[in-house]
Amino acid sequence: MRRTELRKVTILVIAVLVSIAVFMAIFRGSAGDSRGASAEPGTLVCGENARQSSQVIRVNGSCAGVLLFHHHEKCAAHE
Amino acid sequence: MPDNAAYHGNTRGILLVVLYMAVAITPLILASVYGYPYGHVLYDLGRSFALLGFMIIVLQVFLAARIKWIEQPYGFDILIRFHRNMGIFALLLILAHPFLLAAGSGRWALVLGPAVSPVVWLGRITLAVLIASVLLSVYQRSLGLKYEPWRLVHDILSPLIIVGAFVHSFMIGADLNLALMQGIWIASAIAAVSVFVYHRLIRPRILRKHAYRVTEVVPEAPGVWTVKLAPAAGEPLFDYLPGQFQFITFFRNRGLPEEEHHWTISSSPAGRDYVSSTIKALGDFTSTMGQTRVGDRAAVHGGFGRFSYVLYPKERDLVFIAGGIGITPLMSMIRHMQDTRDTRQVLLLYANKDQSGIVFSRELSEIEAGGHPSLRVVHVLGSPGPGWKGETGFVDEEKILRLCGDDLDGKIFYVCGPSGLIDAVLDALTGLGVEDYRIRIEIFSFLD
Repeated sequence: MRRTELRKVTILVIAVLVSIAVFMAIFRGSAGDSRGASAEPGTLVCGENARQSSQVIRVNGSCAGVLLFHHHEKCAAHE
Repeated sequence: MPDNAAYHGNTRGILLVVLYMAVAITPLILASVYGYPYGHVLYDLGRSFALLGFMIIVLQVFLAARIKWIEQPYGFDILIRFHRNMGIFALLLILAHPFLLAAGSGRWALVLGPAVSPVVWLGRITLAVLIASVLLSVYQRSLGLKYEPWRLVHDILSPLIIVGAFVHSFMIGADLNLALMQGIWIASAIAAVSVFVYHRLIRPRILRKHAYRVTEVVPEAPGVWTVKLAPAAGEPLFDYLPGQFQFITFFRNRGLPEEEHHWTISSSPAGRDYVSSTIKALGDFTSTMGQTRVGDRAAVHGGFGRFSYVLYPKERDLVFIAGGIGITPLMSMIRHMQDTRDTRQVLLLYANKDQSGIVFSRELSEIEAGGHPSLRVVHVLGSPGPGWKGETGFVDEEKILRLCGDDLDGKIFYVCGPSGLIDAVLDALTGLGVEDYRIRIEIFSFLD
């Protein structure tokens, strides 16, 4: 019956998507570390590596959000 | 009739599920590979959920837009339920997004604090609209909301959610600084809005321009009419399978409402130049069907659904169980079998409250006598009038087993009718050990 199949497919799709989202969140942290981009907000923004990243451009422009504000705040403290 | 191969979509059905997941996770993977981490797994998970939630919202439009090559492998009733399930899932992802960001950064003001940027406020408002949209859909019946006003609200809220989520994420999302992500985001938003505009604004106008004409209105029983519709001269009738349904918007003027409703098709697609739906007065709108006149116009969009025996040509022993006006898709299939001189065995158990509710009575008797298909009709009446000598009561385990000759092996059951009958018959068939794959049902209400 198709309703049973729907339930199975929905559960499968949701499980796969959530698993990938969790995996990628973990992967992102480890990949970032291996690239030398420190996870510390202040270092990320103020460091030379981060300066070349697109994130810095946003920070040097308008501080649009909490994450960027957080970075900016750290930068100001460092500088 | 459409090419059946389009409906034998196991491969296409699986590929579409894979494609769905691939589209949903592509931005997530790109952002994770090329973007920069925040450094706290909860924060990064919050970003991941937001990216995934946005893409699922974009894909929602494609699921609901009645795109036939997406609908055919599953059937519209199943597709719209998947749309509903994924809407709830997207809400949960996006609801978790600010909490995960706050938990990862320690800045709980992000969740409730008033001193945040306007873009964060836009995100909050969009989330509130998404919550409202999902709750109205899930609890539509409990809230006593009729289909038409619900749909109007849904049609207004949906684009607001897409645009709000797009602007919020584009302005604030660190991952959206990547040029590739920006491209994907813009393309996704444009595609979603374009499909929505086509589905809700452009296609209705096209269908109206090519409106069908009412050629006959046949009273079948008290409060039941068959409305026959034919395309304008020189234009083709749309393709459909026996047992499918169609969306119809009647343009009758005379102060009668113009609302789109879906009804199962009662005609056979074989060798006929019209399509018909047999409609029972069950509400405010359907009560006006008797006022429909020959020459009235109607926008028609079909056929949809997989409730059709022609998709399973090897199945030769069928049991149709109908309740009330649920006979219509089964009648379409029986008429098609007659038109195509099909010889398969069909047992029709037709449940009604009393004799007055039976429609197609004479035609069913004629088909039964004609031998194509090898049809046996058994009426089951809940409260029959005096003189009734047939079956009484409900379609239960005892009746199904007895009327099937105490042998259910190999029989395929098609069930259509009010939800109470469907639930009772499903319980009975399950109790009799009939496997799921041998039971076919059509779920009329998209919101249940």
